[in-house]
Amino acid sequence: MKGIFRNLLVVIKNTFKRSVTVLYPQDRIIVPYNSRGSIRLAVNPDTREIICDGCGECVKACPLKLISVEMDSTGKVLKNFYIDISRCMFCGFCEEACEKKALKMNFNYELAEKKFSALRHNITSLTEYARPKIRKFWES
Amino acid sequence: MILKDLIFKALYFLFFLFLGLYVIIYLYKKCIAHMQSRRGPLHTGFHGTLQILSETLKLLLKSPKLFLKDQDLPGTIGAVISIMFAIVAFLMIPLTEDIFLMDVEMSLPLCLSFIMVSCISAFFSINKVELKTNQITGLLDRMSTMLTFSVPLFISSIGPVTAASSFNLFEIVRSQSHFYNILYQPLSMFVFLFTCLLLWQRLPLDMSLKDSFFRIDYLSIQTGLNYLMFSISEYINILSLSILATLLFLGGWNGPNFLHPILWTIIKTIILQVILLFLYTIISKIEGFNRKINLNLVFFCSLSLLNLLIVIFVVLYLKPVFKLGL
Amino acid sequence: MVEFLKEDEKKLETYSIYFEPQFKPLGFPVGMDIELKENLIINIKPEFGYLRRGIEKIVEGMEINRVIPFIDRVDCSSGISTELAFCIGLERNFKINVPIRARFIRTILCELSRISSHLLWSVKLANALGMYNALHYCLREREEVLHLIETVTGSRLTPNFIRIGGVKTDLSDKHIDNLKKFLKSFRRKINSLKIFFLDNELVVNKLNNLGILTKQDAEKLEVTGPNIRALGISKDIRTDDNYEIYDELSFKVPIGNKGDCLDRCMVRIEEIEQSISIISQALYKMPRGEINIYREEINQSSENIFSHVECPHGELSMDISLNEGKITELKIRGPSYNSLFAFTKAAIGEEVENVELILRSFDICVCEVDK
Repeated sequence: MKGIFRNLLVVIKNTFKRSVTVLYPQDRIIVPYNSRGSIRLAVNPDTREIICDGCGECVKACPLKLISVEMDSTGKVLKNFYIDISRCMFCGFCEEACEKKALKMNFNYELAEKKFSALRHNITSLTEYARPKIRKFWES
Repeated sequence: MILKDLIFKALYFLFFLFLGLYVIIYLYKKCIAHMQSRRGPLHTGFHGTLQILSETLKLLLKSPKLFLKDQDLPGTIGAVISIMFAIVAFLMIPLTEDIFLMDVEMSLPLCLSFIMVSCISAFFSINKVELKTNQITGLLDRMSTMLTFSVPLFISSIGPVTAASSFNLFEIVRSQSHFYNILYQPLSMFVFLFTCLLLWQRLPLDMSLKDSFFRIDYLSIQTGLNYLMFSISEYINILSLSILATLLFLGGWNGPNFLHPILWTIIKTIILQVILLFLYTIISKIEGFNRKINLNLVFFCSLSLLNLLIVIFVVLYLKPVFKLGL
Repeated sequence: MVEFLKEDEKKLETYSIYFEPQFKPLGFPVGMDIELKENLIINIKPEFGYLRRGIEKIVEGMEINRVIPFIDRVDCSSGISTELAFCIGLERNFKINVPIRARFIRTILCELSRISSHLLWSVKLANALGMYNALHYCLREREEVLHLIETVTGSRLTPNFIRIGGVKTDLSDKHIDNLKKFLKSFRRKINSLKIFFLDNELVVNKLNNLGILTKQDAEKLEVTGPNIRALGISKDIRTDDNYEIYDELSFKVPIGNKGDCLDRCMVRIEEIEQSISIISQALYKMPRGEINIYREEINQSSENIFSHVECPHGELSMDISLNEGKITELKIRGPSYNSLFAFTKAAIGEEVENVELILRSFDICVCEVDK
């Protein structure tokens, strides 16, 4: 019977500790800073321009071939940038391959959308996180 | 006049029944949640106090099948029997010297036997499912364990009876005015509490999902009103058993004068309930025929018989020496 | 009721029950066909293949560096052991040098994932026993371990961290401080695990002499891992075939006696303790240095490169063939395949109600059985 009373002591100790549940919609779980979540294109805060120049390293690095880049008629200015997140593995090879640190993975984990077409991002939705209001919300 | 008086007393008593039920169900959900490091009901009402009301409303508003073709007649009969016997067993227990509904001569064995009947009547309510051999053996196994574990329950309650030399609950409490029974009868209180646990329809004798493949769980077939009546009768049994335990062992409504006697009974039942909850969460499942017989005969019955010897010794030899008013 | 009995009495000799793959208490999609005689088991036939994703076929024709995120998904509770097996095989074959600091980091992550895998096993065992307190406590501790892995690698269960010739990023000083704090508090919490499973008399009486696996069956079926160490045979790849830094650290390999459920339980709980001591020794001895020196690409071809690693479930082995830097064939052999058949032998002669307990004590991961 000794073992059962030792069990009792452990249970009594644990009733008076704090509970571990997080009330989800009001509080948010603290996720580490370098966890792999959604993808975004970085923006220079001084000049408000996109750092990416379309070199194509991330296109070669993706094992599922989800990235595609469109250049201008001159061949030097970026026109459009497509990523299909619905089939993404969140492996992080695209972030590793970029040398100019133009493509980064955020710690945002709420990626659900109502329409399937909203999961195919282009250049406007990828740079949305550079807007100051949204950045304040996630970094507060 | 007498009828009016009786109705007034019955309403007064039913008020205590609902209050006790509400407190016990809320304690059950909150305490177990905090033991498992999570929070219980939190959003409906202040810290979840109104969730029990919403659940009963949901079960009451489901369609009653009383007058349709495929009604579940054995199910409703079983449910009605179990809740009636549970309520009658509760109404026979006095709460203080003044608050009581009936003054029956042998109230203790009547209470215990009504509680057992309401627990067992649940098993006569199965008619819908095709039965195979292994499922029938499971049913019979469960009924037989409940019947056999009632034996140490009765034997352990004989200790206080011999000390007070009567079966009446009033006399048992009056004989504890100087000394509570727990001081020299801790063994029988231990046995009483553990068999209370076993009558509870959950752990350690519960039927989880895996067991429902081999045995039939009467509770998983019912819906609506039947389910409500079965589950409420369980909780009423637990309430009445815990009040019985305080009257038998902890002195009932005796206490110092600065509080009303009804408050003493309420405080003592809540303390016992919390102890029962802690024990309930620790014990894992008990399965196997040999293990149950070992627990029953070797452990519980022998302890309660030992306790009887101690009581006889105290009553015969120590009482005239010390003049303790036992 | 009497009529039912009369019809079924003729069939009382042997009859069979079929567990569907969606049967929730078993926990994973494996169907079972059980033959019974008067409540005792005679024979079990398992049915698997419901979780097949075709990982070995997807990987054909890819470059070596791009294969690693797919291999993570083979072992669902500790994704880092398969990556290690892949990289060790290629490094030994082409004689690539790995710096010492990278080796220490790899062992630390391996042992952390071993702790999280064993904690997940204890959660499922507590569910089968009916002890819902122990379930929530073990889940709470597992959250801390997964949080630590996430700060270092970036993801909880699919780390994608090991590269050929080293490791992706370095451990900073803050990571090391967090690890040391965690180890201090975790040593005390292991005692409560022991109290719940090994001290409780009701649990010990239940698991004693249940589901005994004989030595001849175990050697015929080639069982590896904690399941065979519970029989008294000490086979561990960390000590037999040295890889990484295990020959510089001192630790014990726990062994059991009889081979019943209680011994398997005890072996796994003691392995958690040994992992804690391994991590603390490695943190003390780790030197400073580089992480990855290898910057070339592999363009050769070779056949049948073999490598094996001790993952939390047993021995995981791989067979790789290359052709000009791209994979032509990859064969992965997980240890849970053998444990599944060992379970069918161990359950003969037991009652039907104990099937779930015996299954949980073998620690079978279905993602390894059908990849």
